[in-house]
Amino acid sequence: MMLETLEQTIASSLNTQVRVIQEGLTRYPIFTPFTLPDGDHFDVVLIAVESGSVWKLTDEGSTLMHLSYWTPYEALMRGSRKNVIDNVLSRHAVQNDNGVLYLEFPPHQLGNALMTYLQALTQVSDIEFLNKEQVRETFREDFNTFMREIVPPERLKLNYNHPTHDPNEIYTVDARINGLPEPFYIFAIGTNDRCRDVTITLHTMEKWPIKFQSVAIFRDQQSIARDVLARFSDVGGKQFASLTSSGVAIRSYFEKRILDPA
Amino acid sequence: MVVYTDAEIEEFINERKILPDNYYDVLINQLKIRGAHKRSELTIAGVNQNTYYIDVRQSTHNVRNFSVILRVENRITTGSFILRRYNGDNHWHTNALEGEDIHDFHIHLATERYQAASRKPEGYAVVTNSYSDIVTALESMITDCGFIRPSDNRERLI
Repeated sequence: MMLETLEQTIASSLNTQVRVIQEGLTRYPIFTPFTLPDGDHFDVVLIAVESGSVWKLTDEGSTLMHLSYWTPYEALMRGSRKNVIDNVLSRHAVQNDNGVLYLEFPPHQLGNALMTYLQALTQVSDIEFLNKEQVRETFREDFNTFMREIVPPERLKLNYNHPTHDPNEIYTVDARINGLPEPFYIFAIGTNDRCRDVTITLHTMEKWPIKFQSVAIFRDQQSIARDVLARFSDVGGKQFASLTSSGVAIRSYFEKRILDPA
Repeated sequence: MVVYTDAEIEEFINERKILPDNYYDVLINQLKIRGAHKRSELTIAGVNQNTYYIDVRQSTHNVRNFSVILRVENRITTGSFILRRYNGDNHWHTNALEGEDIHDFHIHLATERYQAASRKPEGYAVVTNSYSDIVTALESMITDCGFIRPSDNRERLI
């Protein structure tokens, strides 16, 4: 096939996959072939602002809403994920107005602006594929943020060590919730090593004359070696398999028990 | 990786799930704004001890941009698994494996073949005319997915 024919075939194919409709005087939804990981197409709307001297491409908040089906919105808006999203948007001059991603440009740059904008949305949607190392980095900050969200500050102590039994601060509890007959000792477990440490910590604490309820929140319980997890399960209390995906269940578990300890 | 086969997915869908009295209040009347969308969640126990979640999302800019989601707590891997999503008609959808385009209200269905193809489990969708807004989408999901409304449950107990 000649180069020119190839070019025409590709251009024609792209043309037929783009559709623009008009809603009102200045609002134009644009349908393109670019999709999110589930096959839904990106929501893109072209809006004329400032009497048409400036145009704006906007997703009307749909991209981040869509990603929240798989990753909690709060997790997208903090820590490493937020940094990645901010960097993508910044590289493409796309603004984030409280969850609405938009790009403003002069009308004559529509073609380039649309491609840039779609590239930004595609890269933002790739946040779901953050590599394991990056996700591991976000785990502790996600855990701390989550605990601060669900527990009143006067009842929460992060990185707690028992003042009498652990003066050298060897057996650290990631979060302690007080104000209960038996306080919650909560452990954030992201790796095999941390799981082993927590197992030892709980065995040690069992020998102390104190009462507590232990809860383990895993980054990804499936990534913990079977034998390591088995030893931990002998001594650990309540377990949640994933901070990210079990967020609703964890919140519900603690809210119920903090408000009504009986 | 196939997490659940089509038969297992069907079992989840058909498992009886008793809705609490306040389900409509929690899911529709108490939508909370997060960024540019509204959201609500409800946890429901199935009679076979599985834990389910209904999530509702709706854009604050476009009422036809919504999703009513049914998830099940995952017993095999971590977290939860999306079984169904009842979507609005503001966006197109493409079934990547079949090459079909949808330009209407559509329901995402988890399938074994999309998992086997390393795609989103709920990447396959079908057109529907069973709802036209977020409230009727919720009712449609309740009808389709083994839910027992509080009134049905009371009648059963009398």
